[in-house]
Amino acid sequence: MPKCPNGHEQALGLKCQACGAPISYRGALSELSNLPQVKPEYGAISMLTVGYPRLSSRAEFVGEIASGPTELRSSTSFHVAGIRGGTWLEFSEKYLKDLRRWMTIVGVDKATDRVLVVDTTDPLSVLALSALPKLQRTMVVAVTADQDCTPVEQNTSYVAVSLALKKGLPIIALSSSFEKEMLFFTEDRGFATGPEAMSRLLEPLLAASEDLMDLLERDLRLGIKLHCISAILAGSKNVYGIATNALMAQTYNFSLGTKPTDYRTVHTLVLASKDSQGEFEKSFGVFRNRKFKDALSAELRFKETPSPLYDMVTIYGMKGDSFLESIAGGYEAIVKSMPELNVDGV
Amino acid sequence: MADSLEYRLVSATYRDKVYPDGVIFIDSRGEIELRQWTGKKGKKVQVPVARFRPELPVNVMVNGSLLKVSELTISLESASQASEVAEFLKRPPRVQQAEQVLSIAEASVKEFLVSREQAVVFISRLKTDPRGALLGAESIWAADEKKEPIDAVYASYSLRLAEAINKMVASLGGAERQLGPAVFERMCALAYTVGMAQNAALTGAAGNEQLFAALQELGIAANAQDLGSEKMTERFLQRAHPALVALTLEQMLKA
Repeated sequence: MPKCPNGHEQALGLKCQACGAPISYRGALSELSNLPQVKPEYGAISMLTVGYPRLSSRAEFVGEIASGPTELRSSTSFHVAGIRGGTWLEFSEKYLKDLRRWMTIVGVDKATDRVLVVDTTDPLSVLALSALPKLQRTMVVAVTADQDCTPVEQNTSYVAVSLALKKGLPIIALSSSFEKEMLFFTEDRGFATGPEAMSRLLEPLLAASEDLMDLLERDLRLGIKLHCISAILAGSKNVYGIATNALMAQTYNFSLGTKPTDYRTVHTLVLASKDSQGEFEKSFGVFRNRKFKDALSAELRFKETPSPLYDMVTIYGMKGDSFLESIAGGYEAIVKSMPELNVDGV
Repeated sequence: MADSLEYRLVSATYRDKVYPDGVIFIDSRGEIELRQWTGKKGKKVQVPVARFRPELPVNVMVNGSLLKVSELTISLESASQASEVAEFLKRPPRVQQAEQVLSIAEASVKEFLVSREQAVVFISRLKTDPRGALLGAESIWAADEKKEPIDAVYASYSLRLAEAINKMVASLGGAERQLGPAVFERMCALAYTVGMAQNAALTGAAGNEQLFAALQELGIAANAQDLGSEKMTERFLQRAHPALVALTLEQMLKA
């Protein structure tokens, strides 16, 4: 700090306010090599997408990992050059280091919550999950292979999901068929399918991300990493009647075709007007007793919104290996002819 | 001491032409103007008949009231006047030299502060668009990947600025020898205070009255709108220039 010959320190000015002697700045100049520390604003939610170009989201940051004709790096894009006939292994070998660098630079670890929306049948999914650091408050919304997918897709999906499970990342899984058939309708925005339907499904998940992360982390402690989902978006009393009906109705369209006995936990997020909170809470108790009496954990989280319509999303915690078993055939068929595409090779 | 000089002449000879009377005027830059009286009695006005700037260093010869400089020979009303004119003509090179030294010192301060301003602009972007800013500075981080990108960028800027400060201080040291410690100290105060203004522009910290008062002492009139405005540093330095010149001349005269 600048000071006068009598040792009085002073922030600024030519004369010492204590003794009137001239202030000397000679010894203070080195302070100018330090720049003020700032706190960068990374936002509350960062979302990375793989295989979902231009997904619209309320997340403060949406980064896109995709393949294209040429490589491209920007603060929101990590595009790799396509490899003709390339497997997940080739993309990982070629781009893993670069993607880790990019993720560090764009501060994937800096937002409060992270969401990876990934099509696990895409070879880049393994690359993305390999590069993603193991972080708290991170969830994976994964489109997974099913029986309609090719063995190559099943192999890729199997490896990607195994990798996420190995890293302890909670997964909300949607089968490929479910994702293709996903359709939502709202009066103001009409029908939504494909990526638009995915965007719509993500809306309540991100809006209630704090509750969702909390529930997922609790399930992780119970050893439950994989979840499937069902949802009613823009629901109303006119269409579904009482809340119990709506809760029951959504169970007819799970995102993964598994047996009810596979479900270990059930959690419902409701985004609705305040006056309906009591009814939803009461109905959830009925719903749980009727359908998921043996659930290790069941909870409803309510988030108030001004809209007269409600969004309801339920996630079902599952035994981890039941899904992998369903696509193990395709995975192993590929490994037989290409042993390097083994899950241990990641 | 006056920054220009004007004396009535007894006679003058310029390029072999004789002027029976007239006036010699020398401006602050050392330019000499020979003027003749013209017009009717009572309404006479001065008309320049010759104007030139003697080559540096100015070679002046004085003999009593007679003074010769370049191709001009003048006879003044007294020997003391001739002596004063000679002294004044010898001053400009020193002033010019001082201005040159000051200009070099100012340039070194400007170079440092402008590079610091660029760093501050980067940090400012880091605050609002950290991802874009860091991607643009990827090469800085690449040199030191063990650090977090932001820490690496800060460390790199800090190192570069420390080097720039040393360079500036070395240059100011030269100025101190020729212009004296007061000018040196003023240049240091200027660099430091404008540096603090850059910080204030970044942090937006309240309580800038002290800063504005300090800038004012350096001849820089500034307000809240000036902080963080485009080319703030350059504009502040321009505003500080007249006060620096005045201080430099003052110190020279004292010397």
